[in-house]
Amino acid sequence: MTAAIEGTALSKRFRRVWALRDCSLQVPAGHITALVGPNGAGKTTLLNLAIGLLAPSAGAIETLGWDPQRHPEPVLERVGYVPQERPLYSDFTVDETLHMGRALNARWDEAATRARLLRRGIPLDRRVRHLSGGQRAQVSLALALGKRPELLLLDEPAAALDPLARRELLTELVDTVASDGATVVLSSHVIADVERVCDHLVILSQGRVQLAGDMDSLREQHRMLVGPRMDPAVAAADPTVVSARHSGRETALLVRRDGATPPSGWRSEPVSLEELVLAYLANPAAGAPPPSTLVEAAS
Amino acid sequence: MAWLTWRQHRSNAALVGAMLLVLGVAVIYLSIAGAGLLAEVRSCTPAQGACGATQAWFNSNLQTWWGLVLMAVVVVPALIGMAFGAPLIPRELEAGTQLLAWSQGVTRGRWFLVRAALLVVGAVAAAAVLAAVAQGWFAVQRDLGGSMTVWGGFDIAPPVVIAYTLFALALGIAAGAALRRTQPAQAVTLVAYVAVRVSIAALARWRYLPPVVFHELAGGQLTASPPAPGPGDWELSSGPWLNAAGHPTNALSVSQLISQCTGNTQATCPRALDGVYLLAQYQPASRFWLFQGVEAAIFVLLAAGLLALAYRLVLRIR
Repeated sequence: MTAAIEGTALSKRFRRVWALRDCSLQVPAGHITALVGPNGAGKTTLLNLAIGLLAPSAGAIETLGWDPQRHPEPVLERVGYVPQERPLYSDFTVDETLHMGRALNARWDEAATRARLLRRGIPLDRRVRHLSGGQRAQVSLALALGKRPELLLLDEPAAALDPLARRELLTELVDTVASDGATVVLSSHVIADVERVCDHLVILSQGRVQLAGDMDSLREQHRMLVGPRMDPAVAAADPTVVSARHSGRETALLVRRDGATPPSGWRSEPVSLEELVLAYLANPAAGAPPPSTLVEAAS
Repeated sequence: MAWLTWRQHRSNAALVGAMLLVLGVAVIYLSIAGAGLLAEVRSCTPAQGACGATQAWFNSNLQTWWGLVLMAVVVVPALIGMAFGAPLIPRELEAGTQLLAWSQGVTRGRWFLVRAALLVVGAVAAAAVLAAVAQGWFAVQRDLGGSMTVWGGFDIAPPVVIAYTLFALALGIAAGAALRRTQPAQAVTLVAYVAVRVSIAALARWRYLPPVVFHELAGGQLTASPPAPGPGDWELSSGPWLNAAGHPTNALSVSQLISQCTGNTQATCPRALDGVYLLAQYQPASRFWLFQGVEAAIFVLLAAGLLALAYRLVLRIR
């Protein structure tokens, strides 16, 4: 696998708080990777590190094969970034915003960008401050796509979009990857969106990579085991147990056991992505395998 | 980049342009109106009453415009530093648009250098216009027989006006990069600009070359050797009273004795003052442009240092 983003023991500290700690991960090229995690997990920090807006406090990151701090040119030219706040110059018109994109990006695709905005019904002569939140998001995205990126970083792309625009956006992302072979990394809270378009998953929690891997493999590796009620302490002690639910006579365990056959008397069921993600998010201690395992899981 | 820089600064640029235009028109008006009355002023004798009124009109106008031009020369560079320099970095950080600006296909280092370079070019152009206006005014007042000496126009001569403007701009940019907020950066720019200008003018300027020393005899006479200052020279502070042997004497008793002088020569004074002289110094008019060069170089070097500092600070913003 070639990695579009490769972090090695990557750490970032803001004053006394570690936003990312000892993260080793690989984001595969040519795929759509979802970055999932609770607020403050370090998703935005990771994206900012990838494009070089932040510098690592320790460890290393390579984006498209380059260190974004030492070699910013090849990274900035080839990476499109849509930050969560959708920053735009509010006194510029949409047209002037495109002018800026053209002036600052060598590979700018004016025709496609204009067409994209007109298709969305965004008036090019309107000032950005008079656009709705959704329209701003569209302009922000058009600006990032306009530079024909090999790697597109999207921080919460679905926020501020109505359901229809959201679906269109996601479809467009899949098309972009399919037609250009681009890589997309998107952070999201909406697991339904993630499930629909992403084929790779990274769960960040408290600044660490909790789980990373190909989505299908992850689903195969995890099972829901349902059997007679067991001692909660025993379940909690088992490192393969991600989450456990104990009811009157039954225990349901979400386990990671890579295809091992379930013990007799237990029923093995497949897990949905949502169950999987929520189980990990609810239990930050789960997963957290040693870094060597992490790299294997990602590759 | 050039377009973007212009787009983000055009309203401020219009403001400064308008100010310079007003000032320029005022100077042109004054020189035209003044030229018409000049002959009248020159032809009249003090005995004629109306002539005194014309002269008074001249003088008061010259005073007014002098104040205005001097103020503009002091204010416009500071204004350029505050309006263009100080917000350069903070305006992006305050709006969160550094995420936009610094994630485009142009590196942050280049983004800064191109912008700083364009602002420097713009500031030099504005300063050149300002200096031309100031020189125009200076010429008018000399034509009209004003009392301004060469050294009196030091602060409005083109080399230093351009250097001051560059310095103010660089100061604003560096303050913005260091403080990351527009208003504190503007305040620091203003205070630091005025402080540096005043202290260099008061403490450093007269020392660019060792002053020429001359002797003023008690009673007011100047000795022929060392040479006394001419009309265009810049007379500096006076030193101690020395006796004929060159030793300091009691200044209080000297001034008491001087009050007993009956004329402007030492011969009319008490004998105790014989040979007593004041050690004084001046900068000759011939050094004016050399001093312009030295002062301009100081401010240009300060500006270069501040811009280098700002560049490093910008690359370190995380």
